[in-house]
Amino acid sequence: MKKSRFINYKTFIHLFFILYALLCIVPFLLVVSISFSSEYDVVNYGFSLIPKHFDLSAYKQIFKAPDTLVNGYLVTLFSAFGGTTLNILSVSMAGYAISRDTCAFKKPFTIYMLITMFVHGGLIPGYIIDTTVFHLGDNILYYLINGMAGAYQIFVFRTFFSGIPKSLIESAQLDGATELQMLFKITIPLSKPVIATFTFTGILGRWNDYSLCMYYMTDPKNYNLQYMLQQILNEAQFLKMLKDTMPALEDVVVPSETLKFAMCVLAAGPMVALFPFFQKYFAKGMVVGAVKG
Amino acid sequence: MTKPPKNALRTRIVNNIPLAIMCLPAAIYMFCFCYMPMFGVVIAFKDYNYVDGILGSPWVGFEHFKFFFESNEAALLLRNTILYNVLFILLGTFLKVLVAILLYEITSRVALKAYQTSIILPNFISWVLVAYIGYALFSSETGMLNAILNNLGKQDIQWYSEPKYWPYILTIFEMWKGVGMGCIIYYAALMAVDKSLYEAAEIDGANRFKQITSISIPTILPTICILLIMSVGGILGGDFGLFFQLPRNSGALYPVTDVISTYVYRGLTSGEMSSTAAIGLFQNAVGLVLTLGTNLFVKKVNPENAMF
Repeated sequence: MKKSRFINYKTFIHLFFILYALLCIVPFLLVVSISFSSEYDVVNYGFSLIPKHFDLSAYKQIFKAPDTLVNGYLVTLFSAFGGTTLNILSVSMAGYAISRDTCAFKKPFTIYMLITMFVHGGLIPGYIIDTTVFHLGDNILYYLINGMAGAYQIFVFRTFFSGIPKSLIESAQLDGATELQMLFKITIPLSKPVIATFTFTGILGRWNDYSLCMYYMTDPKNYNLQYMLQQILNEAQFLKMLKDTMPALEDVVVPSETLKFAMCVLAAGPMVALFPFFQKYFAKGMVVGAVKG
Repeated sequence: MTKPPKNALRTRIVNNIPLAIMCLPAAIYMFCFCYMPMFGVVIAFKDYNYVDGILGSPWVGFEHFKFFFESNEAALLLRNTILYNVLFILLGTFLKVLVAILLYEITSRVALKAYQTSIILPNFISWVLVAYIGYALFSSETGMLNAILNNLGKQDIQWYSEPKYWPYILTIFEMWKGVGMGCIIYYAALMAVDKSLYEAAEIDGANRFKQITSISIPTILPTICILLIMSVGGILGGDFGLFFQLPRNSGALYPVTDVISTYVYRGLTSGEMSSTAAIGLFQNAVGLVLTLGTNLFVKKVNPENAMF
């Protein structure tokens, strides 16, 4: 009697999670399935979860003239990998410096950083300074610099580095290692979990970011994937421009709805597909964030 | 035994030079991109134009603030921003705790991993991709919902121009995107509970529900408090992507989708720098006061839970 009730309530919980998981996954399947539908079916019957006819014309269209997509990929990769590398370098160095007992400016520098966490200039003053003083408007280098140093990241690194046994660093110091050598040869190799977490969150954040591009970039050459997708979805003009550069396939209606979704799959698909493999680092990052610095 | 003080000071400075150089990139970055914009907020009290720049533009005092608060938009923006944020914080916390407690009941490793991976997936995609999903559902000519309505013999709904549905749509998508990831922090807190407490409760005859209300919830209560406090400061903020991307910036929906962040962004595109900078300043100032205020309050009540 008791046993059977036990099974019942667990079953309900499993059922709940199966439904919840489907709710999270099915929308992606919908996007993929639309991209493989034929334009005729979409126009006549609307989007559906199962394509009536399997059709690759949207993809064929894109691959005939993939310039926009390739350019978007290059910009996004540049931003994701270049920007994240610079970010990890600068915050790990600063975090290391203030984790050292010998550091004399620990306190003032900590306050200097703490202020940036609570006081913000806001979007508009930031935009004016960036464009008029630093000339970063429509400048591809801004993808590298943006988000290079965050106070929060530096504090997490400091906390993590402080946990590394001091004797390791001291013995290296006795052997004549410089601070930079100690950081790269001892501290960083011992901090793989926190570095991995920040690297993955950094890459993902830059991969998903459309706002930097939307605020600062006007030249289509500087558009990243997300902004390109946003333009395709929202601006008929952009879609038309995109299609004009593509040679139309013979005797086929130019797909426009399915083309949007095929672009979306090609631009966002790889990251969504890779995500489950890196998932644990993000979950860890959540918990790292909960630790009081 | 001590060295002459002057010499010690010199060694200390020399030793600190490499450390200072290591901090330099971060320090310069913060100066240029955090501190300089902080001083740039003076444009909120000026009439900014490109020719005269930040320093040369004429002062106007509190003119922009006065203009904003006397306009009809102010009430609408504040109402939308605050109501959505309060709703998202309360409903979000409730759902995250609920999912975490249910997740804790799952004992099979394989099932746990599968569920976790799927429910946090929405958190890792961009709002642009969410806008595509929204478009697939709500597009008036080809959207899936209208196709379903047609099949049921009902009229099409022009989703992108009917404000009345959007409070629900925005709430559902915000929860869809955030709950799966947000519950992990509560789940981690639950994992820290000593298992013997549950065993003891079971021996005492407490059923599963009773165990949850008197062991699980009290243990995660501090975490709930900290996260609630941390979210108070952002009450005038808001997820820009949710309000901008999902409704596809549709003007007809502004009455229910426009929040301070989207309004400020439109000021940037229309070139009304000074007046929108004033609103941004108001938003940030309120956020700062709320953050410091709640922290002070918590410090008085329960110093353990204070942020700093």
